[in-house]
Amino acid sequence: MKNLIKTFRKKSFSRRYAPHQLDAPLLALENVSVRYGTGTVLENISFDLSPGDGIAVVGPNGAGKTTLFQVIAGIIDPFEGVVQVSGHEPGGHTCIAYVPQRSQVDWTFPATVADVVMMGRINKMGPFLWPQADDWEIVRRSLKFVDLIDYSQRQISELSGGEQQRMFIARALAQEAELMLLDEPLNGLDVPAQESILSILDSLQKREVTFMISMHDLRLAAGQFNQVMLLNKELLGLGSPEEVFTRELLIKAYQGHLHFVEGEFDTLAVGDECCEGDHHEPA
Amino acid sequence: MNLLELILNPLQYSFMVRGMSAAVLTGIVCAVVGVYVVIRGMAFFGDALAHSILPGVAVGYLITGGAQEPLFWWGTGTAVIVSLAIGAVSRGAKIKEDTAIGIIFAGMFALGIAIISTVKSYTVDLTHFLFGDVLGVSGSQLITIAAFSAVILLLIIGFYKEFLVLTFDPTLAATLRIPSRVFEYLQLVLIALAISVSFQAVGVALMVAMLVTPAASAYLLTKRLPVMMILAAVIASASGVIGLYLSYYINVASGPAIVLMATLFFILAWTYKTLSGRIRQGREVQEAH
Repeated sequence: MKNLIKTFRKKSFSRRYAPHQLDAPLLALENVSVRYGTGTVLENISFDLSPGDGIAVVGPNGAGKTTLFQVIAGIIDPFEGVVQVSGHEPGGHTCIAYVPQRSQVDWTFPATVADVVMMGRINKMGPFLWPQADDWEIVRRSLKFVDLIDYSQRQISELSGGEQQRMFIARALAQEAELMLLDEPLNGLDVPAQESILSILDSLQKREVTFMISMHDLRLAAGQFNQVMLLNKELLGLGSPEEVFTRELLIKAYQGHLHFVEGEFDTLAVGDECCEGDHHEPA
Repeated sequence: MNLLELILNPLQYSFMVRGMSAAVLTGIVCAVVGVYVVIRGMAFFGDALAHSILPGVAVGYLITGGAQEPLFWWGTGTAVIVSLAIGAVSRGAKIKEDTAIGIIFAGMFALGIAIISTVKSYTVDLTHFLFGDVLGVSGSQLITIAAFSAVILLLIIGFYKEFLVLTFDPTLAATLRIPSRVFEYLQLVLIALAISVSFQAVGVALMVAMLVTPAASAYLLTKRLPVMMILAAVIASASGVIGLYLSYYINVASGPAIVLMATLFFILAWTYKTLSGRIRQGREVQEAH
């Protein structure tokens, strides 16, 4: 009887979310532009993603990486063009997870790691309902996936940067996201922490989770991802690192702000605007 | 006189029993709502909103000729309207939010005092409006307070997870398709209702203490939001009860006595937090050597 009431409440109160059209691409952008006031942030972006794709998005500061993610997540509407996730507008989907930059969150908030991961499940519970045993089980599994199960009762301020980022990925897993948008998750992390995030992304891809990750390190993007996107307001390239990171396209993306160094390919370019938004002209 | 007599003595007066019930109820409601006020850094908003209900109360006071009970409704109406107005103004504002709040706050407060001052013998009632008169709570007022407290608490518990996500990570709220704006305004209305419920107990000038002090004490003592709410409610109720006993035995005004007790609890919590932090640090240093 109790379960019957619960099911009734879940069914009758839950908002109806957009269905997934199986023959449509997981993500499709068509001529998407975003403008704020008189400034253009994104111009005429078109591309498709299939399930299981993992893409590194690179470009200088102000290239519109965060805005692109927000448009895809349905947090902001495009000024022109169409975004579709599995055949419908993103605003109706809850299978898109936006994994925020760590600086966007107040880390003194009174919550444990498990509490934050549980936040990913709240729209699965229905109004007036509290987490059930199966919700806690999913939280536990998500934490295990990112190797944070021993930290589940820690206060979030006690986590290191890499652990904070892994907690957010666990939250996206608890949300049962099929498309994850990771906004500069590697920023400010040391190499072991970066590697642990990258290996989690690897395992995600094996589970057919599609993701886009924005980053600054061109060399890391080229070394770790089969597909990269070069963005500077417009989409300059999408494909394998060899196809996209050409001298011509990189100069177009970064203008004067890069150095060419010897790398895996004939030459490799490194942007000098990395991480915290310095805008030094190269010497 | 033994301790039991000390405790039971004041309770033989029905006004003391009503006063304590009102102090506990409003303490709980303000503390629980106040948890969000503290976490979101809205103390100034809460203070301003409390002061802003004065003109509404003043108009009610003039129209009803000083009757106490209708004042609650005048206060409630004003609080809800002002909270929504501040919410709307700060959203599309061309000036900073705290500046906008400051302007509305002082303007409304001045208007309230101006209206009340047109009545000749206004000082006694004005003192009650400013600092509360919890011992003057009537039976029917107590029922209204209880009913509103129940509604506020039910809304906070019912929409707990929505408020939680909205406060911690508004972007997640957006991707989970939670109607953020509805809940933002609901949160403001809940703060407004908590203020109007507590108006009789502590008055407008000390209201902000009921909203932030117990919640801030609880914030120092726990790492989880639900625990923070319960702790804040316990601290506020204890402040209400102990404050009223103090008021009875050493003859100080009831509103300030309650607020002073809440402040004392905060000092204790802060001292405990600081000392335990020092001790832990010391132990870690020792272990490191």
